[in-house]
Amino acid sequence: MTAAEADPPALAADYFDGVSARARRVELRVVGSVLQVDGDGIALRWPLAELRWPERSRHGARVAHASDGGAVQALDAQAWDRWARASGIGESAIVRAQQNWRSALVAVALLVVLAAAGYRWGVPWLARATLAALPASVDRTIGETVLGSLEGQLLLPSTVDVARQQQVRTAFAQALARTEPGFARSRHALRFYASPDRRGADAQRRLGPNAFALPGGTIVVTDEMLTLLQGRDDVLIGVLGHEYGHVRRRHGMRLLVQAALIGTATSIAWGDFSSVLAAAPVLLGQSAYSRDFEREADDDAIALLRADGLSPSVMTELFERLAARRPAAGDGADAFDLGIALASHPADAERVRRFRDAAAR
Amino acid sequence: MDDTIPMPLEPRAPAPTPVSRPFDAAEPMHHTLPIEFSGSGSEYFRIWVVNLLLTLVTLGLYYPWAKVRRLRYFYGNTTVGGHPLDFHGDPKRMLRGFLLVGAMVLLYSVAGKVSPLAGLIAFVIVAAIWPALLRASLQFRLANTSWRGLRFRFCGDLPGAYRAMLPLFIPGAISLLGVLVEQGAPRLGGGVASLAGLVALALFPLFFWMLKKYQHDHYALGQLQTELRTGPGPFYLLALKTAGVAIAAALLVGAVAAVVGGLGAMALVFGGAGGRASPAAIVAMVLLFLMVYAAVILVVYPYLSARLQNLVWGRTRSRLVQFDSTLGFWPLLRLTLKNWLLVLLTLGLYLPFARVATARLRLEAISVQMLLSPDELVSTLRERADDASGDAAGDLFGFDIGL
Repeated sequence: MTAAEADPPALAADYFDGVSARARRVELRVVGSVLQVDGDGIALRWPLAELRWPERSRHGARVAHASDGGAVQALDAQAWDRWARASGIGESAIVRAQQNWRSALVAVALLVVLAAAGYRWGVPWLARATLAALPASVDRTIGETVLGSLEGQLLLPSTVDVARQQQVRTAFAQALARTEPGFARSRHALRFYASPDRRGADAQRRLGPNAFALPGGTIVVTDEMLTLLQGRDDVLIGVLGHEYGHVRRRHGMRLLVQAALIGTATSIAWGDFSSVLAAAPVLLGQSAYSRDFEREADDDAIALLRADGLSPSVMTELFERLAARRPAAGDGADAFDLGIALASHPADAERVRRFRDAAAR
Repeated sequence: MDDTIPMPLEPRAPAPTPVSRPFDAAEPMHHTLPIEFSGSGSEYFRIWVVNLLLTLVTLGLYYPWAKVRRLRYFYGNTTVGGHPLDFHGDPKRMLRGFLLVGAMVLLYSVAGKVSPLAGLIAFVIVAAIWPALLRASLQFRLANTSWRGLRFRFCGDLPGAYRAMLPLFIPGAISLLGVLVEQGAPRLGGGVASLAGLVALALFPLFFWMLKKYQHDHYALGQLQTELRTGPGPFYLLALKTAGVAIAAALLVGAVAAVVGGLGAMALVFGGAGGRASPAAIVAMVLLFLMVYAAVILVVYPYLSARLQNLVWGRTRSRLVQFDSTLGFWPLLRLTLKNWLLVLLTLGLYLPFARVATARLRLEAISVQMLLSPDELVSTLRERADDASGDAAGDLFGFDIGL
């Protein structure tokens, strides 16, 4: 035995045997890899490796638990920490980081970076990886469920004659056939519904001129959209190309999975404070992802139009016709566009610019 | 919207004897055990941020370690009669439970999206095992909490858990019936659904009482076991009062909001050419809604939780131990307002400070009196409840011991 081991530092503590709540005064010493607990009629030898050791913190008491149910406790945390250090008890890097402002601030900075990177790359990547493992039949089931809940509510039976419907389908199929190999591979189905854009009390329940894609490949086009684009089948091909882009890239499913991922992350961070606060990043994140998806879908529309020998700038016609239908007040309100953080689509002006730029290239 | 109570821990513990009278007193001695909380917001902030980072970097796998650290910090800083509580949960075990329950929740949420029927089946399954999970969660938490070397116990049995949850199953069964009826007669189905809603509303205070009774009747330490000595009456009274506070708050804030921004919003919505609402009007409406919502959360929640804590802990007692709680509505309201404001302003970074402050206010409002010296407490059997999946379930479904 060396001199240092012969005289290890001692600490006064309370010992509890796990059966009685009575505290008994003991002295603690670390000798080699054993904690010695000595007191009146007590002489315990606990291997350090089998102890549940307390972590250092500025506040709070220190309790170490043995596997036999016994415990030693010190109310003077500083004295315990000094003794533990003098006895050569190490502590983990995590405990050191927790007790140091500089590393805590580094952790804050890393959290910010991680949140930004996770949002930009991590969540979309994880969503794609999850979807790769998810069979397409799940998409179709979800799509059917959504469509079932819209039918009879927002979507009424189409009044466009079947010949015209078939003509649109054929034109779109021909356009797809001219694209690069691989582009037209995704399964899809064009379906037509009426959703008259009535003014007044019923306005909220009607879609008006619209087209959207559901998970599983169903593309819904409203009669009103066909009417709006009367005589401009080239623009209609662009609109369908945009929706087909959503289908091709499984955007609907990706939004669902990404929402679940962000929701999980934020509820770990803030969930026990307020579920509403925890949901806010999900909502904002969804809107931003949705805008990214719209841009991707616009790119697919551009690719389809090009393959069909059309100029992407024909799409400006869509936005002009939509704008013409909008009440005059709408233009003034666009200038006051606080809603951008919540909007699911990029601003019209930005999208028009995208199509024009594509045409110029 | 559970608030930040990490865990108004189970202080059904007696403790040392700061205020004890001489041993020769004829009547039984009262030992008053004050509850003190010594946690610090800035210290917990560092613990929180380091562990949150580790949790996110490991895609959530570190979560049980972070949770154990949080509980040990809060428990270790809670002294009952001068002795700290401690938490013993084993993170590795908790990770298994966490993964198991996580997979279950994932299946549950996917089922609801795939089809209503699959969602319904998943709902029935979760409802059927929920009471067992609640019991497992309480057993795990208490068995892994100690004070003065003694482990707490939760001695509620499994049938008791199902009985306690019974009022919850009645509206559930009615709405299930409604879904089935709706297949045949949609109009009738809607009627059954609203009946289920009414029944649920009427039964909720009863359910809450039964749940609290099941919990507070079965907390034990050594030879002590608590009881909740009250009927459902005070719970109904509290529900009525809370409804009154909610209406008053909504009216007050609604009036203020209308004056401040509501008129402008109305003008934008109805003043335009009668068609679609402009983005500005939508934003104004959203803000209006958020203000009313905030009023409900910020006023009603502190009211309800303060009164509930006082009601439940004030009536928790047994022959040898008695609790009391004197948590004021105003202090909790002030603290809640401050916490929300600062959490919002700091984009969530204030959260650890909020948790510590709330824990201090809530815990220090509780006091314990014992008719025997804490030294006389003896644990007869060493019980271990290691079903950590219950603990994870408690986390994910949002029930915790506290209140």
